[in-house]
Parts: sequence; C-alpha cells; structure tokens
Amino acid sequence: MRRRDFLQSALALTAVGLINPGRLPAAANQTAPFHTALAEQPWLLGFDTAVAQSFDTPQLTIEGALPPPLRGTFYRNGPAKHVVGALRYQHWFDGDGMVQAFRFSDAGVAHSGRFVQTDKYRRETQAGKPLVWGFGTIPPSAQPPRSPAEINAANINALPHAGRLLALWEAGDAYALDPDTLETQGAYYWSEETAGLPFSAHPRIEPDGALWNFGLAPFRNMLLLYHISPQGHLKQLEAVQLEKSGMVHDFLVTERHLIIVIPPLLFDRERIAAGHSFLDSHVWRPEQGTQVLVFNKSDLSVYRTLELPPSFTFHYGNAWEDGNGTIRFDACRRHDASALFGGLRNVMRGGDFNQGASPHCTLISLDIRKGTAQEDALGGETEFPRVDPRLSGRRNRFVYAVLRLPDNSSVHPLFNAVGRYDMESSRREIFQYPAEVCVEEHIFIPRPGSTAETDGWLMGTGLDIKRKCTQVAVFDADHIADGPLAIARLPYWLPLGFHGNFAASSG
Amino acid sequence: MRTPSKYTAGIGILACALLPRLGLAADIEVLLNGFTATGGLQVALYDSEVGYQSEKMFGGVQIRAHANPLRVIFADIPPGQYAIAAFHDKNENATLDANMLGIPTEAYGFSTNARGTFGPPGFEAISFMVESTPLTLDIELK
Repeated sequence: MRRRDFLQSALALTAVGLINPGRLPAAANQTAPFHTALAEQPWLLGFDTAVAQSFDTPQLTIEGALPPPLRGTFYRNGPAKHVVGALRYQHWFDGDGMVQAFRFSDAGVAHSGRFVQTDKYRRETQAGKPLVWGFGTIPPSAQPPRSPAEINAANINALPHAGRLLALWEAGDAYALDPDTLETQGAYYWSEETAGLPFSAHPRIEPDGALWNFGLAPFRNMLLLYHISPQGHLKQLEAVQLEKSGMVHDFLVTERHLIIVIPPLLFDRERIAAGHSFLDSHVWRPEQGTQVLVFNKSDLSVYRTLELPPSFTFHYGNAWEDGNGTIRFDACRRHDASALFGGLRNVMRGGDFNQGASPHCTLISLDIRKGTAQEDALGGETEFPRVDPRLSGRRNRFVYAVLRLPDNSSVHPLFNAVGRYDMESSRREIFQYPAEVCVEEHIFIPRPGSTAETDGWLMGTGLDIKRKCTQVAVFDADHIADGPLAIARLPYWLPLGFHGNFAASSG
Repeated sequence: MRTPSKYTAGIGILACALLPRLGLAADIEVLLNGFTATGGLQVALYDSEVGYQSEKMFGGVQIRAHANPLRVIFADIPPGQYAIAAFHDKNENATLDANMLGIPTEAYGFSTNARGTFGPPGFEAISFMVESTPLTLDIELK
C-alpha cells in the first residue's frame, strides 16, 4: 500500500521536529516600504502587483513597421499578483502567474492577459488572503504545503506545444490554457501516472517537435525525466534516484543526450521541517562542487557523471555535440546562488536588486571521453539566453541574450540591452535600449520558409518606466544593432515577467 | 451497466464494546467533508503512535461516499489518546492512491485537520483525548 511510503517520508520529517508553521517569524508586511521606495525609484513598478484581473487591448500603438510575414502569437508568463489580501510577497518568484498573449495579425497587434487559475490562485482569491506558504515567503497564519501542487503558482513559462498552451512552474503540474482565450482548462496530466509530479518550466523542444523535460522532487531526492512525442503523448517517464538534490531550474538536450547540472545549492529537509520556506531550505555548499549528469536519450539511463567547480545557473541557451566526444553549451553562470536570497528578495520591499552574484555568459565544454570539463567566460552580464529553435540540441553559432551594460545614465538596475553572441568568433552585436526601458527576455523567431540561423526576428518585451507602459519590440535578428524594426506599446504596464515562446500562425 | 459499489451506504458505525459499559467509554462522532459522491471513504482510528506508524488500526470503518457531510460513529471507545486518518477511496481499490513520489492522488484528512509538510502530520499533531463524554470531530478531506 502506497500510503506506507507517504507515512515513512512524514516520519522522517517528524523525527526532526516537523510542522510548526509558527516557529519562525512570519512575513512582515512590506507594502508600505515598497511603496515608499517606488515613489523614489520608478523602475520598481516592474515589481508592483498587476492593477487588473485581466487585460485586453485589440489594437496596440505601433511605432515603425512590422514585417508582414511575422504572424502568430507571442505568449509570455510571469508573476503578476504580488499582493494577496494584506500581504505583499517577500520574493519575486512567489507571485501568481499571468499569461500574456501578443497576437500579430493583418490587423496589427492585439494583447490579452489572464491569471492562471491554479488551485492556489482560486482558493486564495476566494479567501482574500494567502492560505499556503509561497516559494520564499511564509505568510502569517498560512499553512505549510502538503505537496508541491498546493503552492504551484504556474508563473514561469508559457509554452505552446502540440496544439496546447501550457503555463509552467518549477515543481508541479503544467496548467493547460485555451490558446485563443487564455482561459485555464486545468492541471494537465500527460497520463494518470503523472498527476501531481514536478514538470519543470524549461522543457526543450527538438526540431521535430519532440519535447523533453525534467522534474525534481527534492524531498525525495528524485529526478524525473519526460519524453513527449511531437503529438503531445508521453513516450517515456523515468524516475532517477539522486545522491543529493540541488536547485535545478533548466537543463539541456543534444542529439543523443540530456544534461542535468546540479549546483551545490542543496535542499535540506530538516530546514523545511523546522519551518523555513522552500527557498530557505536550500543551503549553499560550495565544497560539494557542481555535478553534471549526462543521460542517454535512447533509454534515459545515466551515461556519464562529471564535476564542475561550484556555480549556479538559472538558464542555458543550447547544447550540441561535436562528434569527437565533446558536448558544448552556453550558460548564464553565476559564481554562487546569492542573488536568489539577495536581490531577488530585496526587490520586493524596494531594496537592492543587484545584491548577489550576477550572471555571465559562459561556454562550457564537457569532454565525455576524458571526463573533464572546461568553462570559458565570453564576457558580459547576460540572462535569458535563447537560440534559433530549429537548432535545439544541434550546433548553433549564435546565442541571443539580454544584457546589463555599464551605463552612468542608467535609471534602473535591470537589463538594459539585447545582444547576439557569435560563439565562434566571440563577437557581440548589441542594441542598448533607451535608459528608461527595463528589458525582458527576447526570443528568436525563424522567418517562415527560411533555413539560415540568421534569418528571422528577435522579439522581446520591456517596461518603459517613463511612459509607464509595457512594450514589445521586433528586430531583424541579423541586424540587432540597428535597433527595432517596430515597437508595439500597450496602454498600460505589466509586472516584469520571465519566459515566453512564439506560436506561428499556420498557413 | 454500473458495477455495484463495494461500499455500503448509511451511517458508518463501529461498535467497540471491548469493555463492559461501566461509563468508561464514549462515542466518537466523525463528520467528514470535502469529497465527491463516488466510491467510498475509509476511516481509521488509531490508539497509539506505534499503531499509527505501523498502520495497525484500533478500528476502521468503510462507507459509501454518498453525501457531504458523512457521519461515522466509533461507539463505546475506552478513554485514551486517539487519532483518526481518513481518505476518499474514489476508485474503490481500498488503497490511498499515490503518484510515483508517494504524494496521494485521492483526498485525505486527519483528526484536528492537522497538515504535514510534504507528508502526513505526526500522531501528536492529530491526536485527541477520549474521556467519558461523547465527542464530535469534523474532518475535511483534501
């Protein structure tokens, strides 16, 4: 009877002093300090809570000329409800997810935004107060989560695949949304067996449409690997017992392998049992180094295990194999995970956003035959790396990423530029946005009918703090430095978000 | 044709009657909520931490999940410390179904409505005392 497993896991927790939500000081209300800081630092608008439950604008104002073949929908996701009842969350990653759709058609660009109606969102909206702990916040009188599903905020990524639109979080079910209306259809199970299992926010989709993903269950030291067909059917699900569970946000695929990088930010069950939030139950243990697990795609077995120096990476661009036993991939590598506990938390009370290690574009080479690894810094403070999706897991020359360029005229501490790295020559082509634009992720969209890696557009959002509006910009990906071909502006602002993807119109 | 339920409808009653009725026993009335009207409910009464951990029930009731709230009575229970665990056996396989990580996929709950963190609560958190007066407990299955 499976109940025994469940009981045994609880008994381990009981033994170390389980369940006392009142033991640690509950979250102090940060609303007043945040608004005081916002009055002096307009960029904090990006971390304010969304002003409406939903957004709809049929026709955005467009500056410049959109390329006629660019037709489809740019979906994005991010935490947008940072205040529940009287409580303002203490971490950027806590807020409930809102999915945005920017629809490019003959009629122009339309925008809509809807909160993902997760179980958490529905229950807390009805109650008018937080009911469960968040990722990094323990609201007063809220309860500890019985399972990851209870704190699933579906706030990280929006992914169209096999006719579905999925809102993704890190450690729970995907939520399915109607791609046309953004109405939530419910938690999506790939099979009965996957209900309630972690499904990460960073699946990798291969050129043929096959989807790979991982899920991490740190309280079980268990890694799950998913292989889903281009038609959206679960082909394989493998559970792998790990020696240790670190915080893993993203992973990589090549033509033959999956790569999971486990940083030494390790989950400590005793800490969550003692009443710490999920985030604060992770401890930085640099002496343990970074573990790299390479799996065979053919049967999801472990192929190689390698070690790297301690580091922490949220995002990778792409991985590929050179045919001579070397796997290469790019990472926005931080020398430690301090930003998670520093800037990404401080900002919610209006504090220093840049406290903690910043991410730097790094090329990592794994020599599978020798079992050695090399890390080469390419220069620049970068995040949200993306590549041409036609080259997912194949050799890519270019990586697109947002950057933070040193700038004395800067009026915000966020990303202020977008660029293209040439991984062969290490050359960069960069466009720096006007000082008042806080830059969000930019993605590559192939031009329909083209094949060349340079042939497409770069699309990304930003928050213009002078105009107090969110914008979406489109660049010719081969001429980024020339600036955007067009910018479409919303008549309102949205909280800063995380990731998005484009679904091209068929036909 | 629908398969007849293995569970019987009505009020679930477990009469203990282990002790002569000398006034040293009481009834525990349990009102269960939070389930849909399919399958059955399994309600277990434990009289010690060891019993709870090893899943050795002091007594148990199985009943059709026909309407919220559902009433279960443990009758003539001797004084002592007890705990109740209940789950909604939606598919009538007499098991609290769980995913491959051991997380239940059917609703469950405990006396005192205590919750665990990524697991069930311990005995102390869900236990209650039985003396000589009848008790009524509400349990919300989630």
